[in-house]
Amino acid sequence: MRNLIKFISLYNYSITFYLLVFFSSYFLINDNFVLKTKYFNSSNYIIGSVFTFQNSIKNYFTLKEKNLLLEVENKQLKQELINTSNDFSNDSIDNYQFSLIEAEVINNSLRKTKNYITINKGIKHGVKEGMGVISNSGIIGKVKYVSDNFSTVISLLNTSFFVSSLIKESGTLSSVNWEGKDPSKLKLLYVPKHLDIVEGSDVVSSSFDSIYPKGILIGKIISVNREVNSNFYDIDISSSQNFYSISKVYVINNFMYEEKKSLEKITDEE
Amino acid sequence: MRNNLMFFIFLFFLQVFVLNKVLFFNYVIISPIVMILLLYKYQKDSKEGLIVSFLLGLLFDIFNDSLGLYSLTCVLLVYFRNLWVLKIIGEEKTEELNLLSVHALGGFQFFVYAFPIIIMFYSILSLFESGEYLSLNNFLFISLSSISNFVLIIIFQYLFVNNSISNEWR
Repeated sequence: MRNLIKFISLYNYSITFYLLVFFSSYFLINDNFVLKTKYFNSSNYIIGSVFTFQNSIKNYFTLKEKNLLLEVENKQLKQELINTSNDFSNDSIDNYQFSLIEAEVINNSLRKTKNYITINKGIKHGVKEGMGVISNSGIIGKVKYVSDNFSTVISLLNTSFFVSSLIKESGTLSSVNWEGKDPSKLKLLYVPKHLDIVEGSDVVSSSFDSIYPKGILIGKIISVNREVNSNFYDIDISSSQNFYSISKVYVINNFMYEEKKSLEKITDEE
Repeated sequence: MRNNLMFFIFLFFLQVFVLNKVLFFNYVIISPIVMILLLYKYQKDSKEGLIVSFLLGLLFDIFNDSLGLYSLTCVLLVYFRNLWVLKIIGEEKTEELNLLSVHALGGFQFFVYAFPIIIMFYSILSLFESGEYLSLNNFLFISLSSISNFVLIIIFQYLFVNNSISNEWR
């Protein structure tokens, strides 16, 4: 017995080592690990939280990339939507009447009565004078001048700019113009008093001017004033577009614009 | 000493909660646990060292749900380390050192001491986790993980261990 104790005390380091190896091997081989309890599995929750946090950081840095993809997708969808709602017997994308040119607003004046917007697309990108400009929220304006890489756009917040419009619910033809005061309010003109106009109705583009497709939102009627010395209502609409925060816009290319205009010109001359 | 302990605890939790779940470039697992086992003070025939490494591995297994894998690896590693360090450095010098760090041993000696142990660590892990040894994937895993871990150990020591030792000496 004494010899055994002596042996153990002499080789206690190696014995400890072999014992620990034995225990670890036992744990390794044995699937029913005794310490594998619900409590310890809760570490997965902590690890999961760490990964969620890590993922959210990673997502933040890929936002720009995702945003670009969404913009491309958005442009395609918008183009398809415009063309399907202005269907001219087209059954394929090749026959679409409108195409969109994506652009970025690089300058935007708001304090004048005749405001202009500058965008970063020009002749090189297919932009021409007279083309309409819209955003995801509604009508922005019309292209005034074009250079190789840039274009200036007459903003809807320009007192000399009129947009042919419709009251969506009744189909009443009208015009929209800005008075030069509040950038969030526009005037709906030439709506005769014999018609019933409901506050809250949407005002959309009519497509009669061939610049915008039919049905692009301009705003919502917020007040109707009958008490004016005129045959027409005095109607205020709230602009669907917040002009303080325009960044992405689309220039509308109407493939049938020239054809329509030349036909109308011939008719007018006769 | 307290600084070293805090540093080791930090490394342990870093591996448990973050690094052990991340496989870099499909082949690299960073394991600061090796750094703990490599750096701590050598004591001749120290049962405590073996037991602590076993418990450390076991604790790691519990968090990692790896059924004795790390406890076995840690015990084998420490046993081998205690033999290896004597061969490389010699008993007298080794017992004088508070930490077996790159600052104490010098770059080349630390490489000779640490790199085979790191390779051994990943070889044992690879052997038990994948069940096969002679495959290109395992070879890549062992070599890339060992190199990355060695580099990281060096960087960590220059960033943290050096300061803590200098502070203690002051």
